[in-house]
Amino acid sequence: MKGTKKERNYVDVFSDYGLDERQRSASSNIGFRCFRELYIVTLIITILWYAADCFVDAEIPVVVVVGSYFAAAIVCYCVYAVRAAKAGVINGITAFSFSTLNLASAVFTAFIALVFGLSAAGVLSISDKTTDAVVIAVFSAMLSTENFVLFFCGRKNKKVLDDQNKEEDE
Amino acid sequence: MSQQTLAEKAGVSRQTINAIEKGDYNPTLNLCIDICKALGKTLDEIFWEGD
Repeated sequence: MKGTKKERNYVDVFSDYGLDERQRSASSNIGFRCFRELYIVTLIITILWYAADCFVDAEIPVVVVVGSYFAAAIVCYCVYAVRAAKAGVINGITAFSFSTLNLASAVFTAFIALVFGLSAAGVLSISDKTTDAVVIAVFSAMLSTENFVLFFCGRKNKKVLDDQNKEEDE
Repeated sequence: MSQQTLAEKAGVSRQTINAIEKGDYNPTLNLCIDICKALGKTLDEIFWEGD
């Protein structure tokens, strides 16, 4: 058997210890699909949960939990986009849609999202729903930040691909 | 040579060798070379499809 296997004291279901190339590839595909499904489910549940909270006037800890899950979903999405962009593996259609905006457009889009969110928050704070107002403001700030991150990820992805092509041409 | 023996010599699992033989998995070039070395054959002799 070629190579030596590192001794491990602990492995779990996510570990690829002892797997050969086919098994590792299959495991990675499964992990990717699960991550994507977890992201989509978390996003949908947090949005629906928050909408329901607005009607039942939920306690602050509940709102904080929902907001945390939403933030975690957004962060995971951004982390994936950044890593994929660094490797140049964002699919062509998505990368094009991220990067076709120039910086001014990205700033304007993010600004509009933030203004909309803050306006909604302002309206809610007047109606004495301060907690919901804060959450809406935080949500809109997170979505604006995500917009920026994706814009730069699209540009980075294109740069990585251009650099790879340059190396092949030399 | 059995699948198990070939798998051990090539450094993969028996299931992978079986998947390659059934056409369910396309091995990397490195694995193709390892299989050829294990069998003492060339790439053409093992992996080239007939005309």
